[in-house]
Amino acid sequence: MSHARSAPAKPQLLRAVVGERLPKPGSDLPPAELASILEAVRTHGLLDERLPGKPNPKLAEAWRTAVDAWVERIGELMQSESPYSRWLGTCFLSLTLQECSSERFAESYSNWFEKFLSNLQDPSSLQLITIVSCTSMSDLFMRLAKFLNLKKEATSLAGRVVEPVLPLLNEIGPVADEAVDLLRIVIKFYPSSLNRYYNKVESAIATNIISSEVNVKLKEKFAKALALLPSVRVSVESWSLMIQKILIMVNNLLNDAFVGLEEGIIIQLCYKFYCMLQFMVILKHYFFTFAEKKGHDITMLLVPPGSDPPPMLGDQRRSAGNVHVTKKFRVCTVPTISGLIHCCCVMLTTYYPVQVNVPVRALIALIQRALLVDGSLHTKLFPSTTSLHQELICFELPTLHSTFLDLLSATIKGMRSQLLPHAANIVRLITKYFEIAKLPTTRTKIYSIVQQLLTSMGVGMSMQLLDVIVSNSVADLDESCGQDMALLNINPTKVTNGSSKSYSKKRRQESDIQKMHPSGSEKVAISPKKRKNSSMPSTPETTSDVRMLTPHSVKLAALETLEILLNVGGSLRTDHWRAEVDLLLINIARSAFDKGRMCEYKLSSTVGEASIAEFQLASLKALLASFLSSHARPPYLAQGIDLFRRGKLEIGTKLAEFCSCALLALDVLTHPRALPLESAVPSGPGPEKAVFGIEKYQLASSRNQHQALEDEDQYDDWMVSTMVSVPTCSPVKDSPVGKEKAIKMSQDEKQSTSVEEHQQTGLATIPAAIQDVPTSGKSDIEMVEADSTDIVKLKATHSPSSSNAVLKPVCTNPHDPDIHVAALVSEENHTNVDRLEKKTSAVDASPDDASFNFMEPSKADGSDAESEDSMPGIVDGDPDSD
Amino acid sequence: MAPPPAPVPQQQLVLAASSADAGVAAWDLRTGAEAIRHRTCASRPRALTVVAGRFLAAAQAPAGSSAPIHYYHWDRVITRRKPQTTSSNSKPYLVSSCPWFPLQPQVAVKSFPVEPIRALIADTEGSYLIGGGISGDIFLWEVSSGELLVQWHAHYRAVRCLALYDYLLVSGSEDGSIKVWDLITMLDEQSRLEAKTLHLYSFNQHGLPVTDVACFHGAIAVSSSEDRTCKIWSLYEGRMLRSILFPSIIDSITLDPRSHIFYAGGRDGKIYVTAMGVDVSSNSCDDSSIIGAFDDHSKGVTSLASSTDGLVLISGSEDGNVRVWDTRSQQVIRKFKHSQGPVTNVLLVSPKRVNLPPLQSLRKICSANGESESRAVIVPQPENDVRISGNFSASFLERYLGSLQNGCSSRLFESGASTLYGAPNQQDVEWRSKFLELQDLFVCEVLDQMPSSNNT
Repeated sequence: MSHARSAPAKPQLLRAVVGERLPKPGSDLPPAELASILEAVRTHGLLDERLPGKPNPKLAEAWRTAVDAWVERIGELMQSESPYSRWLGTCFLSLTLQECSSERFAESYSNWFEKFLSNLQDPSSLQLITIVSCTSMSDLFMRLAKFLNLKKEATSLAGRVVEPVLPLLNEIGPVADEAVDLLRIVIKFYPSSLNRYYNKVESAIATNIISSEVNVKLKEKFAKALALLPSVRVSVESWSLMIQKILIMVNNLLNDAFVGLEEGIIIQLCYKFYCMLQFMVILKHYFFTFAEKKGHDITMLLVPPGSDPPPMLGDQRRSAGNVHVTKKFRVCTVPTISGLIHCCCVMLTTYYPVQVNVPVRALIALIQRALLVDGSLHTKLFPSTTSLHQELICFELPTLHSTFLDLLSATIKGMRSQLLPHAANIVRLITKYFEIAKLPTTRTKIYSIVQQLLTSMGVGMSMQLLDVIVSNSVADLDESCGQDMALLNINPTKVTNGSSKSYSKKRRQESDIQKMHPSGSEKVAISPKKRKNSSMPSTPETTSDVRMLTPHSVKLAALETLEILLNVGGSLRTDHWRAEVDLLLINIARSAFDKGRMCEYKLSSTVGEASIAEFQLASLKALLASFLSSHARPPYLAQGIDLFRRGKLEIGTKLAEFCSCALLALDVLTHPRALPLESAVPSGPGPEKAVFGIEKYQLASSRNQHQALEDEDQYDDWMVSTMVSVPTCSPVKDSPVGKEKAIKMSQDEKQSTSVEEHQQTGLATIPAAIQDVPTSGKSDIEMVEADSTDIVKLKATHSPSSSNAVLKPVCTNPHDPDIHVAALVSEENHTNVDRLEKKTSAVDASPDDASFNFMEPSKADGSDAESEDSMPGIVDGDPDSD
Repeated sequence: MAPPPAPVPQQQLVLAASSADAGVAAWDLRTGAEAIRHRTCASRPRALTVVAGRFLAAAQAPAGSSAPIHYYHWDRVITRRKPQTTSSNSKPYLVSSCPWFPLQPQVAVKSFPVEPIRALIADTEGSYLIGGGISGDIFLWEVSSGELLVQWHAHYRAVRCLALYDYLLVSGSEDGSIKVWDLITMLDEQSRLEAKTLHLYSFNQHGLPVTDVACFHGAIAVSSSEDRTCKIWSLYEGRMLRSILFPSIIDSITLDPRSHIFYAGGRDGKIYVTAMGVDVSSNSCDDSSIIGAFDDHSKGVTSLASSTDGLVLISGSEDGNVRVWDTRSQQVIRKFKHSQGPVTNVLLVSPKRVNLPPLQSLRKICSANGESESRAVIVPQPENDVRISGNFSASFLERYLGSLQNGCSSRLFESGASTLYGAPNQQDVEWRSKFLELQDLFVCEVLDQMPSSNNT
């Protein structure tokens, strides 16, 4: 066997297999033996006839004859009387057509095709053989599709296979499963071959989708096939016709199902939500409508008055006619609707060779119709339906809703920006549906739809959905806190003891952190929610299995939605919601983290382990988004960084990966850098020119950092470097200004550090300085603290100039237009190059050493140079020299 | 020379239009050859736009009583170019391979809006065209159907410039005001009725007509005005962040894709390189954030466009020339002569040649009662070519094993085989045991990737 890998042995090996191990027709073969043959052929590549290195005719010939023998034996097997041998032969032939060389395949594919086809056509074939033949045929066509030169032949073969396959579609499960796969492959690769059978295929598929005997998974396969069908006859009409037919049918099914149900709703809604339904054109006129009416409206949208309605989908034979009325809805209507809707979804999200029109209004009306039926609203409101019927329908409503949510999601995906005219409708629908959706599956889905909308439509959409998202996700996420507390008494096991120990350990850690950032985390502790959390020492040990009312999936979805909202519109109307959400997110992240730790000690048998890791990740992601999206300094940054750092230690998990990314992202936030303009392009035409702007830029930023500190709040959240805007230069760090103030102070200290470091990078472009930044800033807080006090001192020496100017708008409102004009004139006297060169020299003159002591002088140099060389007229107007 | 180091060399066209009737000229950025000139086009600034790379639209300056909007195809060749040949973006699109030279391209579609359109833009996906009229109205058309979806009175005087951020529309007017509109609200009748004010924000800090607006990520908008300032706005918060005073009137702005800086084309012929926001607090003067200037034009710079990689800047000037700048070296690397008249619009586009359905002309008025069937479409994508799925190697056996695992086979043996096909009964039992055996074997072999111990 050790020689087996070398090419010369392969023909021999194959011969041996054929001679000794491949069974004769009619004879039996133990499965173990069969498996070993398959394995041998596949692992050694006995059939591929590819010789490495230089051509060796003799060997090639030997191999060819060996393969010939193999194929011949398989042929014998397939022609055998014994079904088992035929089955074996088909399996082996399928293996052959995958493993053999392209030449051989091109040579004998039609031959093999006939063999499979005869299996399919033979009504006496065993089911197993039919199944195997179907899959083999699929493989054959898939491989054939790679031979572009054989396209014509392949198409004609594909045409021949359709007819025998059609009856198979109505067979029991597994056969139909493979048959529909084969059909899909044929439609996908050789659409033109089906042209003749279009109607037959359509009705066969439709019958199966409608049928109550087909299981859901198979129905989805049929739906996919149906969705592919319009590509057989590529035209605008065929696509539209198909979707029209489907929607009409769904609408009719809904008509049947909702008789009576909608009345109640409509009566209610007409008064309560009249506006919401207003979009339906005809509703405006008739105001009062019943199920049939509503359905009729949708039909009107689908089929404009005056044009003929499309033919029914398939032959519309109701195969569920004999089903009892109580089962009809569950067994027949709902699965059929989901099958059809699935088909719609596929049609909407896959591209079609020509541009097609989508009946968006009808789609949305239909979605609205289905989603706004609420099973819980109206129990007492119907005289006209039996309560049994109602119960039955309400029982199935979640399934139905989730189907239509899928459709909504597919519509959003497929229509993208074109949904804009309907966006407001959808927003209203979602707002309403959030009130209805109570079940985890539908709630998760509606969240994911919201996410899609946010990403596809951006700021405008987040403005519309802001309130809904915040209120709902906060409710979903907050609930767990209360639940945790409620569960505290139910769960007094030893786990509690063990974990409370580690919790106190955590508390200690936390207090350590608090020592480092005394005021920062104090604020968290002050807030009521936080106190609620921390005053309950048992919060973290509620375990996954008993934890919460809101299931994980919903919370996960809520977190993800919040994350996306923060990403897209995190700075929108921040005063309304950010404080609450930020606090919530840090609390959730912390508790998730603790829970995750608790879970490690538990057995993995608890269901929630994977989902807890997921939840941790989602909570940290949302936390990062909350940090990055806020334009002010995030209030809980210190705690967050601590979480990320701890998460980074969980080596080998997704969490750790993410945490290191997060730390990197936050590094930019904590230590803002002014990148030179052309940093990424070291080489260019004329390198001395390519560095245009760098000196000036750096000089400007370093020179102006000082002023940035005293700038007024107009600029505070504009760029990261200017976030340092709260007056810091007053060295009143220790004076009791109140807690808030102290917090700000401590944060500002940190910021000023970062500013100084930023200057460091800005001035001295030597890489060493750049490397200094993360190390000093990130991992060693004490260092930073020490540094910052130094800086404050430095500041204090410099403060006379800066503290005066605190209240003065510096760069906008030109306080003296004349001076400006003068400046402009004088500006124009100098060419830019001159200015640049002077500045460059000024920078070069300043020592490159990156210590703080050198920073200030160099800064002074820069501003002096600036005011002297280019703007003499401005010096008087300079607020610094007041 | 700055050949963009993009791995995929895709044709990039520099387009220019003039207020004099000199057509829309297109030059290949790489070769510098004039690719095509669409005749009859005289547009005022900000009135030329490209609809998702698929075709061009230009609002015409009023001549006589009519001021139509023209559509132009990329090339006036046979419209049924095979989509497959042009589909893959990877294929370099050589000018010489396009037999369009002999044919003089024409206006594909002309539409006649109710009033002359001053500013015209399309959204990034090319679904909508938005025009600002001389009366201060804003029109929003759906491209696929040509329907006028909504029209509203936005400003007291003509709309001079428009920009989109996501679906927030920023409009700048001759009356000096800038307004921000949420298109979701604007497109919905009920939301319009409910809204307190139609506009989201209204900025009145500019004292003179607004000349240009540009948006950038982070919901930042930059506007220029004849009051010689550029102002930076936050669309999130709806307020001004900065104002920068320039030595001359700024007629056009474009943003560097990295958003550090923006370029402002002045009426004095200079292009000012301006820092977006880093050194906001210069103690001396506003223009300290102006960190440089490109200077080659003899007359005012009317329009600017920057490439997606930020290496190339295109400028159009009143002297009738279009210049291509290398932003690193500040050198003019190409200079195209457009016409005698002032160049009013420049664009840099990578045309997408897809199989377009016939273009619809834009409607004059909203169809009554909101009954307009807005037509959403699924646009064919080049990548629509049938892909041969890669799961060929997922061999039959594994697929079959899948079904075996699902227990189908056992069911098969129980119910199907014997009754339906009348296969011998005693074999059934035998086979079934064999199959279960085989199944176990395969499962452990294929799934665990372990060599079978039963191997002889």
